[in-house]
Amino acid sequence: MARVEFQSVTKVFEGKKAVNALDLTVDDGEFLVLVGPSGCGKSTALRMIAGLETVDQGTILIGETPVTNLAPKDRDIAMVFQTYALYPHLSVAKNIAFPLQQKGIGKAERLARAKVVADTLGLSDYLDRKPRQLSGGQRQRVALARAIVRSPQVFLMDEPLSNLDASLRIQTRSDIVALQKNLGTTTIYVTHDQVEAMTMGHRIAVLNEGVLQQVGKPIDLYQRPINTFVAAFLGAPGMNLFTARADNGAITIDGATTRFTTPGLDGPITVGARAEDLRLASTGIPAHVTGVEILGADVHVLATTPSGSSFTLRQPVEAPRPELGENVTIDITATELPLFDPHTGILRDEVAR
Amino acid sequence: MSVAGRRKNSYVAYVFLAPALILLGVFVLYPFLDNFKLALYQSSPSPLIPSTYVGPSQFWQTITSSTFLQGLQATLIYTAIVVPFGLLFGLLLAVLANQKLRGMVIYRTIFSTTVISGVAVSAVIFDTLLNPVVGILPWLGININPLTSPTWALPVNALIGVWSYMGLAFIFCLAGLQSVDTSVLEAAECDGAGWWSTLFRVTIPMLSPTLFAALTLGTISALFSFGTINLLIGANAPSVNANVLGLQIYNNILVNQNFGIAACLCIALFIVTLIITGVMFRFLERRVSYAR
Repeated sequence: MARVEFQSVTKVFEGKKAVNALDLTVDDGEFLVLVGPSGCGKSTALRMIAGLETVDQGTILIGETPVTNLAPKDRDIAMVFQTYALYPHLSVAKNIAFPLQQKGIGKAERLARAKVVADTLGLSDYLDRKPRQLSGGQRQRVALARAIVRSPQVFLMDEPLSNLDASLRIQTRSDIVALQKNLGTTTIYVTHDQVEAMTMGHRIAVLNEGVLQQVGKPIDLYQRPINTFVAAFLGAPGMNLFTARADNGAITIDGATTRFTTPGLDGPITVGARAEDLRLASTGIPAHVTGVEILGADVHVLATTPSGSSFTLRQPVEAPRPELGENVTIDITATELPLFDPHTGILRDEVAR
Repeated sequence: MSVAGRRKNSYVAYVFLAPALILLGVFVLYPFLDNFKLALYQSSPSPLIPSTYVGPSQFWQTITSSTFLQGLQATLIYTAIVVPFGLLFGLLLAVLANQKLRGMVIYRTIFSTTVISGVAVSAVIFDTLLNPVVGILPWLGININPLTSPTWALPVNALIGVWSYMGLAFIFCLAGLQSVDTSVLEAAECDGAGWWSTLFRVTIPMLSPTLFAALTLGTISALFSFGTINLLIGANAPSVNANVLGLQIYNNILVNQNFGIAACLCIALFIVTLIITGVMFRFLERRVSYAR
């Protein structure tokens, strides 16, 4: 086990910085989730730890060792791929034993160790099967077993659940969390799915266009996103962002006065509010309903204000629902609201109460 | 659907199949079967005199003759050189050309040109290269003419065969390599496999269907080939141990006009090909791992 450290790491693809001066430390035994939209550089960052991509500038440390110029096989890492990347010509047992074979461990011992790992992942009945005879979930477990078997310093997982169907994804999600907790191995997990990020990691690192936006515990990022990108990206749905004005401290959204004030604030401002902090009311912010999604226990009401801020409101299924196309008014129930700079999108120190 | 209706539908199917069936019948099936008939007749010295029926004895005489046995030996030696080495070099070139390097397209083109070089073209190229006066051998200090040497004539022609088959094997292998999932190769890298280990334990097993196809096609084509031997050695082929069966068939048809013997040789070569490919399917195909 070891910590992993990026020291101002930059990677350039065709003149564009895929990863831009990344500084990030993953602690020993930590489960860190790298999350961001496609093309944000999260996979590139992971592949640089593995040594599958070269580093253009900066240094990567695993433990105390700079690994920037080491071959993947000399880094003592194990990677789990989105496509499973199993060896199609080898049986499950031989797939799992492959890394041990490369270490020069004898046949009897490596197959015995592969069997032990296969048992813990519920693969005992499939040891002699070829990957093509397994389901997607079984294949992914073989890939996990192959990563675990040689007790590497770091696990690297590149969207390992993306090819699984929804119910299996939720199951495997908790399996991986439990596995990591038992083994205590430093794990870096890449995903574009913010639900996986919120539920799996000790900490989340959000990347956008190669730049690290924010690192922290999931709930901290959810409650105090450092900018509008993180605010809108994390959570299902993301935080609603309203174009607003402050007049002598009093905040108005689309001409409607609110009960929120920020002493001393004047001029345009962006106000953030979660879907659960909004409710339909007889007076308040005017909006036009553009969609009603019944999820079961909850209903999402999608609406747009006259000035064009789109938002989502969550209410229980028992509450009266507006019709599609109806004009409604909205009240904000939160006790305090984060404020963002309307131009840079950066979180401001003061809040609206 | 009623039985009558179904039958009517199958007539329609045969109508659509007819052009292909007619072509297959006229150009493949009829000549193939007629060959067995030809083998039973002794050709006359002149096309004006009809050939005479001699029965299967002509076939037995042909395949027990020393000419045939020497030809069979030459054919097997030729094939045993061309196919393994051609496939090996084609595979090596494909592995090299599969790297992401600048200008690789040019190398890929060069490597695959041996496929489109006709037999006559390659014969001229190698005739010049092997020329005892202006070729490369005197320059290398070798003062024999391999094309007139009973020891070297066949191996040298087999080398030309290697050169020519290499391009085809290269195209096969490169196509196979490019369809290999790169994340599997990356997984091997992360799992601690070096370049050689990845090549032998991952890449080549994953290429096995491609390699088997290239091997089978290459073997069949090598068993039948005689082009460069005909052009570079010609009538001297028997005296330099290079009288391969393909060449014997060609000479019996076009030079001696002895169609009966040619037909017997064709049947013999057909049986040899059938046995060799049969053995390959029996013992090698089971080791091929198909991805799905």
